[in-house]
Amino acid sequence: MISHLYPASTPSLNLNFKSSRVVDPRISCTRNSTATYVDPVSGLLKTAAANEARVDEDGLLFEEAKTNIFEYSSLQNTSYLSATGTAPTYNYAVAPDGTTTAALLPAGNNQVNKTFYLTATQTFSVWVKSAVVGVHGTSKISLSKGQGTPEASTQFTTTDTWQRISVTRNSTGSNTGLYFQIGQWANQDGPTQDILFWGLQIEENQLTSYIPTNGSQSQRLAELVQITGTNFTSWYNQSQGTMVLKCLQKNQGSTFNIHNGSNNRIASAYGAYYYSVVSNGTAVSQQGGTTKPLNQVFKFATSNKQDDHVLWLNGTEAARLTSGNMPVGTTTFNFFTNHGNADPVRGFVERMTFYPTRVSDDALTILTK
Amino acid sequence: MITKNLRFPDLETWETLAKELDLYINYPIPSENEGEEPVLVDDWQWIFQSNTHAIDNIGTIWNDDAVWNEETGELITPPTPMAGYHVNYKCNELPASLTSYEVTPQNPYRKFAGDP
Repeated sequence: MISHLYPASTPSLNLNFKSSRVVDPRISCTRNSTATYVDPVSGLLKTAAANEARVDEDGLLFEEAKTNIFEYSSLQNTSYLSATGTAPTYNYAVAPDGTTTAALLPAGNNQVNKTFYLTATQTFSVWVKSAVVGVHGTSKISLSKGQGTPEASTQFTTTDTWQRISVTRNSTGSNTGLYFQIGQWANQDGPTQDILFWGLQIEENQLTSYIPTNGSQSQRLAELVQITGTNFTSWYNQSQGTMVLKCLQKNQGSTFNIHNGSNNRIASAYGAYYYSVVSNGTAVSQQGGTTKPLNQVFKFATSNKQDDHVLWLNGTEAARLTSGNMPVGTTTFNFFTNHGNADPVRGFVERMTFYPTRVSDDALTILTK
Repeated sequence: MITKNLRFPDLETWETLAKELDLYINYPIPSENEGEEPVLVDDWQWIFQSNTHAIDNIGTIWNDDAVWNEETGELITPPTPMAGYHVNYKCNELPASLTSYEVTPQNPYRKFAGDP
């Protein structure tokens, strides 16, 4: 029987983004641009308004600022892409966003392509689907320096539903031609059946959510997601408490930051630091230890009271500070950014729970397993 | 909010103005020298957005005039840069210190998602 190990106190905050599929109204979001997400109910691509947090099938979604340099992402300009073989048919079918803007690339030694002048690691992505129900085609998307042998490719087979595929080419170290293509190269890998494509995106580094463009590059800003003011103080206990998160990060950085905007905070990471507690400018911290896993869901908890601060990761102790006062007058919980609202982490939070007590170490093991 | 297209002579000019506007701020962080007690050290960070502004530091914009070998991808003639350091700045009202740097391109090189 392990039930006696559970915290004796009742959570004062318990938000399950993944199962509820809604953003709690106490959560505020600052993102001065629109952003897209796949609606977990309808499966359609939706657009979140500026300052609207996003919840997809994984939970509360976070991304850094990214720019789509492909200037006509939904193929509004039919002469923007070059083509070899039989040209695509534009505005042919219904796209993931519900508009009739998806293009048809016919079966055969056909392809579309374009060249950009770029440096840095780049990811090219596109949505694809079978043009005829039940008739699935195989082809490739590729990135290369020129029209020579592709340096990076992703083979795909279409289905009856839209899927987003991507390919990444590592930095060349200097600006050069980035040539992307969908379809055949050297009379190989052209679509084996008619396929639909839509929603082209080229962005630096790794794949993020779709960013629509129409005639220019477009930047989606990062989201700064917080619980602040009375929406924070109504459930937070300044003298002791335990925050438990179930989340996934795609890059290292702050998982959370409980702070007052300046010199009082509890933070999970800051640069190489793993765990720090700052009270009126006096810091206690521990660096090193177990690195948070990337690209897999993990459970994470901080439990704090005066001279007793611990961090738990996936059922085991990750850090322990045996001195240090509690931060004073904290007002804000930051998701996935530091106390300066910078260095946003890409990922999602499935669930967050706050107990207004320093729970036992045994309870932390259970809560984070 | 509205988006203003700004062009500065160089990055340094923009950084100086941004510091004065609290858009580029020093957030001291604990040092990370293993085995040493942490001390706070300078860490300048861009405040890319708030409830009243957003910044996209575009930097150099290149003209579409590069020439490369289409077979090999080797660059024959690099594109020519447009003058200045380019920034998109979204705000309710452009601060007075930035007004002289505003430009009004017919077809902006980059927009914020959702901007008309």
